[in-house]
Amino acid sequence: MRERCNMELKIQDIKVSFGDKKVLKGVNLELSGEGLYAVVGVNGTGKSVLMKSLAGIQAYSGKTILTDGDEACPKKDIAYVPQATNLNSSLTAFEMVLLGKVKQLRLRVPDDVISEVYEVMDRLKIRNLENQKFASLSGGQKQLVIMAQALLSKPKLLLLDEPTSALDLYHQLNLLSLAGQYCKESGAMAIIIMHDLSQAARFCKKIAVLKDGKVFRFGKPKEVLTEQIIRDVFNVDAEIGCSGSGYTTVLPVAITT
Amino acid sequence: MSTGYRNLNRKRIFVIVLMAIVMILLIFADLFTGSSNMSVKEAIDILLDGPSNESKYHFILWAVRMPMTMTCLGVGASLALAGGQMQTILQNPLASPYTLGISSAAGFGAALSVVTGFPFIPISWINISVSALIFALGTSALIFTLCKRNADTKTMILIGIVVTFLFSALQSLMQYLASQEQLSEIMHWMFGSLSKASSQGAVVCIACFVFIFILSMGSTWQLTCLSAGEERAKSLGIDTERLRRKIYLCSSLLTAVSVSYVGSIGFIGLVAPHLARSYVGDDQRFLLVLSPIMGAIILLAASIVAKIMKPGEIIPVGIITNLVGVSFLLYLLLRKRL
Amino acid sequence: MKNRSIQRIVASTLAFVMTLGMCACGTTTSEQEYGSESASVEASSSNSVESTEEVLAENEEKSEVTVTDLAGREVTVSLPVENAYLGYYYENFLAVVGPDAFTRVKATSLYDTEGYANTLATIYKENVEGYTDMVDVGSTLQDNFDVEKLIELECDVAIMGQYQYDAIEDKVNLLEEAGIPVVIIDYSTATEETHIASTEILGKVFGVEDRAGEIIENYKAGMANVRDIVSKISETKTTFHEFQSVISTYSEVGVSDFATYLFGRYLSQAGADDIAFPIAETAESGRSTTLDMEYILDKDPEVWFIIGGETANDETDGIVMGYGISEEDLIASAKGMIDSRPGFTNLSAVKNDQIYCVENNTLRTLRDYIIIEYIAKVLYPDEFADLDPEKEFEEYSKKYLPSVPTDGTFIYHLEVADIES
Repeated sequence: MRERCNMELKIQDIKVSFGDKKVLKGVNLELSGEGLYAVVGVNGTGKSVLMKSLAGIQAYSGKTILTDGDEACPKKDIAYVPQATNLNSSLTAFEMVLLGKVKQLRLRVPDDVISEVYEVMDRLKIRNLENQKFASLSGGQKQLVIMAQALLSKPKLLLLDEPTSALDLYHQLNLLSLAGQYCKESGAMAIIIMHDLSQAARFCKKIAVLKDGKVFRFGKPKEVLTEQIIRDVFNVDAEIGCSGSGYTTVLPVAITT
Repeated sequence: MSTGYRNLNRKRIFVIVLMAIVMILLIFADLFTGSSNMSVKEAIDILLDGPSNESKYHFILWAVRMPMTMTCLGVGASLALAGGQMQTILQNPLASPYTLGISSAAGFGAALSVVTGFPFIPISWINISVSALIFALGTSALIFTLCKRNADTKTMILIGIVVTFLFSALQSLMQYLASQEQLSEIMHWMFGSLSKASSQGAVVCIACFVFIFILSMGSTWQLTCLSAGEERAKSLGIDTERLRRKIYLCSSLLTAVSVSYVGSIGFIGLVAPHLARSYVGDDQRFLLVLSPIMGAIILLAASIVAKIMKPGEIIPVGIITNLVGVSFLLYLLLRKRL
Repeated sequence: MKNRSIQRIVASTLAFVMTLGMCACGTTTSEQEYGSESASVEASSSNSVESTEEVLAENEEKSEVTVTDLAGREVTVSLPVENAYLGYYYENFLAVVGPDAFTRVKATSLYDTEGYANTLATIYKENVEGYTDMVDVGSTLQDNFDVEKLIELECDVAIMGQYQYDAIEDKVNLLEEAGIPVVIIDYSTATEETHIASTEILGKVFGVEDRAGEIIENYKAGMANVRDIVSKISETKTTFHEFQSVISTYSEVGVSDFATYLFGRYLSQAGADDIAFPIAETAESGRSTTLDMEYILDKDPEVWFIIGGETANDETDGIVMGYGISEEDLIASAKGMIDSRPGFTNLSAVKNDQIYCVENNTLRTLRDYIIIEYIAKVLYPDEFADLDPEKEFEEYSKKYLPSVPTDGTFIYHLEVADIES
């Protein structure tokens, strides 16, 4: 088993523009320690773009420093999981997961890689889907398969781009708790883009609120999820509460006029 | 430890072996079919005798039929491999080896050669093929250079469309300038036909296929990744643009050689990969092997049908593959409905 | 990375060019010359020593002859030839080799004749011995020439036209390797030299040198006579000619040859100045063109020649001529011709009643010197008063094509009065 990590992510002044349009105008963030972190904001503020920049798919200016203890982490320690419900492929679920280790595959797939794949699929309880075509799976199942693919490479930084948006309640909770479990066991860090603020409060230890291409607020759910901030960022009136187990709850009531 | 994956792969390998056997049987069937009255037993004896000129039937089998059969093998495999690769890198199940205009360029090369005599090689039957090859290869190099900076799917397809139309227009110009005989020669050339088969051509075609096949085997996993989606591949660390360029070169070389050799035989590049995919899924390790086998099977079958249908008359094999292809597409469409 | 890819492109292209080059230069394969019959032991007798060969042919059962064919190839053929392949030029073959010519032919390409001259083919089928026994191996014109079948039939020799050689040059090598020598003849270019050379070849290959020689002398004499008289003519007449077999309505103009080809050549040999000739310098293709009606009206030719033939059906326009066609049939087919062409009633040729029709299949034959005589006679009736082309036609047919019936219309003076509506 791998040693537990001691993760730290420093994001310094990231800027991204598409032509004349400036999407990210200088994002600064510091995350330290394992666990789930949420990124929220209205559509178009650049949450996805930020995530893709971290994943290395999107070009950006600025600096990101990802360290485990004292060592800098190479690219292969980062796994990016997009929204999978629109993906289509004739590969079987097993093969889809297997692609997580594509860089190490040769003409014949070694036995230990196969058992690793089965391990991950067992953990995510999708082993029974192994020979079904990916395109024929339900949205929730697809998302889990892509998660498994990401987890196969035992990433230290897990980037989940709106993983729950198209899932039903059961699968939403399942996925988020799996992510939480993984981070707890391996010490990895996960950044999740979400829309459901209560869920963010329930699962994530810190929430970053993006507005106009910059970080508006960053901190614990209790600190960040206030009526005023929600009104400023989302243009929505909400009732903030506290659940029986101590989680912050957000109930959106009306849009501000 | 369960071996569900291994079982699946074992099944796939079994299918591949089965298809390979079918292909070999069809090779024999093709060798045994023809307009002369050679019986099957005679043909087997002649095959066992080895290449020789003992009797006229020996000559017919080894010097007339063998090059045609080997050509079916080489061209069918080449087009199927090229088609499968095109479908993967363009991420379009309707792509074929001709999507990026190589066939139009070759056609123009042939027309130019018929009308002007370019490139003036004294052996007339090679002349046209060489001209077609020059233009096909030149065009693929041109497209490659244009895509150097930006090799994403949309760009490639657009460039392909431009190239196709450009050379079609030029070819029409050639046809306009041509005399009556030249016109019919051009039309006949563009028809995919096995009557142009020769032993040298078959060797070149098969050698080219083997060369590209070995080259492509190194990229199977990357291609499988690409088939799962562009973003997925990128996020898994694959340099998709570089892959696309490399595979494009391979596939266009295969297409250029095939079309310059026997004219454009349609639908094999489109249909064979689909058939192969329905048997072994998207894993490119298996697809890369089964697609060419299926392509060879289709072309061999078409050749046999062409010989049997009207004994004594040779129907250009390109017509048969087009008919087969259209029926196949219809079938696919109807199946989706149901 | 860039350098590697470029290197790879260069390397692969080089490899290909080299392979193709080697294939182009090298002779074919490991197959050896097969059979001892067609071993290329060149006959010691040269082309001109014909009498020695005749003696040899009588004394030995197997002898050989080497000819240089019309494509410049030296070919050796074993004699006697009893199972030949003959692609085209049926009439010339019949004339040169004799009434039993087709009993010595085993295989042919029927489409090349039947597809264009169906009536002629039917007449031959009914009257010529051995015609129906021939096996059809397909045609280069339809792209279904079956080499396999030809090899199976084990012909002694394959006599092909230049157009066939152009179409299947690579297969010719295959046939030679299979032991079937291929000899190319050409009656389509229709110069005196090519006609004579082709006839000599047929004479040698089929052992009928005497008969061939006779026809050649006859031809030479006829041509010399025309040449003689034409050289003394000071004022040439202008002509317009068209092949009407390619048009579907009379409002289209048929094809006209240039001076170097077929009917154009006949015209120039007969001392005519055809209006198509000057265009030859600027034309793209070397042999023929389609003239513009305006051009024709502008040049105002004095004589109008129409090459008619067998039209495929009743729907198309065009002068009908040939075997079994009566003069009434011809006139009926010409109805409406002048009216469909605006302005043609004012052509000198029409006003002076100078429209002449010639049948398509008599061109490219050894009778074409008579066609030239006919042209010369209608152009310059005084100078060529002694000639009687119709009679010469009949004599030739009787002498050299006795098995073929002669009724039909092959040369005809179409009178304008008959076709005016």
